[in-house]
Amino acid sequence: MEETPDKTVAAKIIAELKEKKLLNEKQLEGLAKSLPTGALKPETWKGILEIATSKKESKDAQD
Amino acid sequence: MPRIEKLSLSGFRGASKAVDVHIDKDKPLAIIFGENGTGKSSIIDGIDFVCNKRFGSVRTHSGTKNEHVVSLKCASESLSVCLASGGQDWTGKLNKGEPVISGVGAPPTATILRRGQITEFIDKPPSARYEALKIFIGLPGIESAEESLKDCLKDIEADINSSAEAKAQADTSLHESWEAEGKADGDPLTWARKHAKTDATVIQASIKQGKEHLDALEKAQAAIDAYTASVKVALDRKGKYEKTLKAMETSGAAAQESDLINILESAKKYLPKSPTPEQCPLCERSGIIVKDLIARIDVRIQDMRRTKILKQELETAKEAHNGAAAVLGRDKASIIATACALAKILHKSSLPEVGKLRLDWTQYPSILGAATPEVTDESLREAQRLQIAAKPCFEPIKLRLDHEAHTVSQLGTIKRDLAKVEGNAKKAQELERQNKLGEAILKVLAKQRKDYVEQVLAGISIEVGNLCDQIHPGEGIKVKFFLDPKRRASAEMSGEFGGENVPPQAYYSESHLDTLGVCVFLALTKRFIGKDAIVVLDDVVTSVDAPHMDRFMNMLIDEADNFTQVIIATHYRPWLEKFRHARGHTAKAHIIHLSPWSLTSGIRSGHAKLAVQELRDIAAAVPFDRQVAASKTGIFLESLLDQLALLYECKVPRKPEPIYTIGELLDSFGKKLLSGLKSELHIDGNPTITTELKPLFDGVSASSWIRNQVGCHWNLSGFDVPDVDVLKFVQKTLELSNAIICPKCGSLPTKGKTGTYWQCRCKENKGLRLYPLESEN
Repeated sequence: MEETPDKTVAAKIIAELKEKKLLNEKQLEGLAKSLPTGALKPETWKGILEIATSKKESKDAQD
Repeated sequence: MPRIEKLSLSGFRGASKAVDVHIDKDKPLAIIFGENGTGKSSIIDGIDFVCNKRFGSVRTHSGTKNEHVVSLKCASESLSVCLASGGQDWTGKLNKGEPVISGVGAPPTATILRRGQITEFIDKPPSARYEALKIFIGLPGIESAEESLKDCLKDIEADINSSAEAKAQADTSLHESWEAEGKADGDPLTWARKHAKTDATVIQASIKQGKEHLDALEKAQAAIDAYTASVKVALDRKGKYEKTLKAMETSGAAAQESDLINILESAKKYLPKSPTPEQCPLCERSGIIVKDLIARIDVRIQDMRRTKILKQELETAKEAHNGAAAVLGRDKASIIATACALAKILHKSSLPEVGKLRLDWTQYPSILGAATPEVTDESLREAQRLQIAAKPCFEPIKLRLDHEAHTVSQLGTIKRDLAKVEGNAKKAQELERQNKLGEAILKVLAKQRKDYVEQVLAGISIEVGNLCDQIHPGEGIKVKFFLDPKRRASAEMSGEFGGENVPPQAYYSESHLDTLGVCVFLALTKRFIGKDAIVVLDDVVTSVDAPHMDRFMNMLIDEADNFTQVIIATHYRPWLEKFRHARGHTAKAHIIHLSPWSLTSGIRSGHAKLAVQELRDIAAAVPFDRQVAASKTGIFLESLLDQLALLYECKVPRKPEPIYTIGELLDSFGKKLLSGLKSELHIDGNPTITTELKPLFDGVSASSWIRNQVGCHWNLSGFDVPDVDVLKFVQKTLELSNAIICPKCGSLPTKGKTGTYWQCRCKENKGLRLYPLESEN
């Protein structure tokens, strides 16, 4: 199936987010599926940010 | 994607009579040639009608309506446009003024550009231009994710503000409490944290103990108050009773009557149930009639009413006196019980206020010793004494209790405020982290989206530049589409002119803008529809000169391979003739020639034959038309020689107009050039047929006189020329054309980029080569 522009750009976004270590692998996996579909809602983003920052915080605390 | 093979129009625009327009489906380019008013736009509109359900050029002119699509003197019901492609066909008709298409599946989609639309895209403001491109360059999924992330960040921002506000309020409250408490411990937070460590349960226990004391004291006081009131009531009732009794005693008869009433009333009750009713129960006298006796008793009792009232009053007073005495007894017991409870509390109390009383417990043996003390006058006195002795501690305990309650309440406020300050500070920190991360993610999303759009726009810019270069080689016509970083959804455009970036509309000539418009259209169609596109151009360039027109056509021929089909309508006759005379990639193009239109004949469509095919047909026709053969052969020969003379820059006599005779053109090829002239037909890079051209030149040179003798004038001597000689002239010319026109692409070799020979329009080492590249003359 032909790659849509949304999917192409989503893949690049995921790669950059991964490179910059902004989100973890599991979150990136989920984001890779939902980014091109336009299904992401503000509350979904909120959940992503909460999990990402709480994990980072606890990791920082451990470090 | 199959190509359009046939279009049948009936009652549609110029097709006042039914007409079939056949298009060679094996060729990617179809040129519809016709002078003005021959029906070109009707054919293009017919394609638009079926493929796009649109009314085409009818709607682009003011004062026109959809119903004008129906041919003059035709009924709208008779309108029919049938398009055949890939073995299927679709028919468009009018139904209630709207196009209705029937057929299996969807008809092919044609992208159509008309003259009036050429510069529309260029003239649009950047936002409208972006809107037009949006369906191609838009990323709906990513844009939606970006927008929802922005909304999420707005919510987080609002939460941060709300947390900050709540923290500020708690800060203020703490500050006020801190100030009220004398600004201890340096700052409100240190003070509050210190206070928050205070164990409220100790104070609460003290409050509980104090409350028990106050409760006992209050109960004791209440009991005393109740007893005092009861004493007053009892005394009052006792006085009333005594007063009534005295009144009874004062009246002796009354007292006797009272006794008698008692006796009478008793007799009245007794008599009806007496076992010996005829005998008096008192004197035992017989002969009594009970009924009469009771009547007599009633009369006597009535007579003694006053005595009865007095008796009743006395009874009431006695009852009240007895009741008050009972209450007094209970209250007395209550005083002793509450004093007993108070004594137990005070006796074991550790409160300083109680300690200060210095109670002598030896004075309260009755109420302190027994679990349930006897109600005696002694215990009553002890109780009253204790209440009086304990009373002074009530107010101090109450004051301390109020203070402690205030302390507990303040402690609660401090703890709540501190929790709010610290909780909101922590929450704000968390939100700030989320916001920071969200901003970073948003930046990545926006950057990647813009990069993609910029990349697409750059691709379009490059494509437009490449196409323009083919039409305007060396003129530096360039255009660039880009996003304005400061504006969203805005496709900016700039052109390069004289080494500077300028708005093309301001600096480019009309012809440049025309060709630029077509190039933009082709670039967008190529980029976003590509191979599936059927591109239709309706008389799009009229303002450009002949050399640019030639390059424009060459560009179209080259680009036709990138689309399913290119159909161009034109009234530019040189294209027709040049194609017919092998001045282009004729194998790729099919030329439809429209003859003059009339209402009775309608659109008249036919195929324009290539000159070489026309000659073959003339040569084979019966009867042989010698004049047509000589004339057309002469023209064809002139076109071939003219092209070759141009390639080798042959010298011809100078004239005001560049019109040369066959003889002058033949003579212009010097001996050296002629001896070296040869053509090679290459298949897969290897020459398969090599032809020396000098003998062919000699052949046409020997019979070229026939053109003037037979094909041009009323010439008696020409009549003597036999048909076989005329036919020979035709054949010699065809032999020359066969040697110098590529059988594959149908064009003369005119591309000299190889540096060693002239190449036809075939690619990749295929096709016809013409040697040498330059004349040694």
